[in-house]
Amino acid sequence: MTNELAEFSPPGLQFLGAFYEGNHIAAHDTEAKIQALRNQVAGDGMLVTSAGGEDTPSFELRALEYFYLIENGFNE
Amino acid sequence: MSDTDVGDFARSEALKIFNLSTSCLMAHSIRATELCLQNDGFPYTIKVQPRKNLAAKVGSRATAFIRTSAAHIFVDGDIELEQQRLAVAHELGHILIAMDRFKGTQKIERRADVLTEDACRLFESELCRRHDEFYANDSNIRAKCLFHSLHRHD
Repeated sequence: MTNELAEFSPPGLQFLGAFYEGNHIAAHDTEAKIQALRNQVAGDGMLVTSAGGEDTPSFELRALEYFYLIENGFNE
Repeated sequence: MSDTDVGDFARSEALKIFNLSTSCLMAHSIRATELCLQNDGFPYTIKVQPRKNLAAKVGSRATAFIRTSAAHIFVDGDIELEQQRLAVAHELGHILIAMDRFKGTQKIERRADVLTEDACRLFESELCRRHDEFYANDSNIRAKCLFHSLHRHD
């Protein structure tokens, strides 16, 4: 699977940007982003898995961002 | 709604549900997974959603978000139908393994390790092979899939 992923939609990117900014998270702080997203969507715990992808922090972040956008009504 | 309207409604809903049912991937296996977890004391709901461009956006043919009472599976709607079904099966394996571990630890893991991934690939191929063998056998189709009673008065 390629590492060069397609961008989220402009409204989706804007929404995520505002979310990270509101939580004072630096652009490259993957773990802080994961934790902030988990606080929003994971409740008392959530396993994020892939079929045919890589279970890495960067995958987890990307998947959580995707889930967060879908949960908030974005059509990604 | 008049008697005629309700009849028309029933007919159109039957068509709508039939058409939708042909795109409900691995529906029996999903219901069976929910039942399996329910029998273990976990009322559980699994939602599956095909999405366009999932692999391009997330980097995986499918991804699952598994919590203690529900799971949400997204599968790439652009890949071949067979690959979508295999991917859903893979994620069902993740759900069953995660919930089995939850029974012992009361915790849901954050990420799957390599051993779990291998086990889910095994689950995927075993489950789909069994489906394949079932549907390849005409007598199974005749006994368990067709509605013979609908033709009694033809």
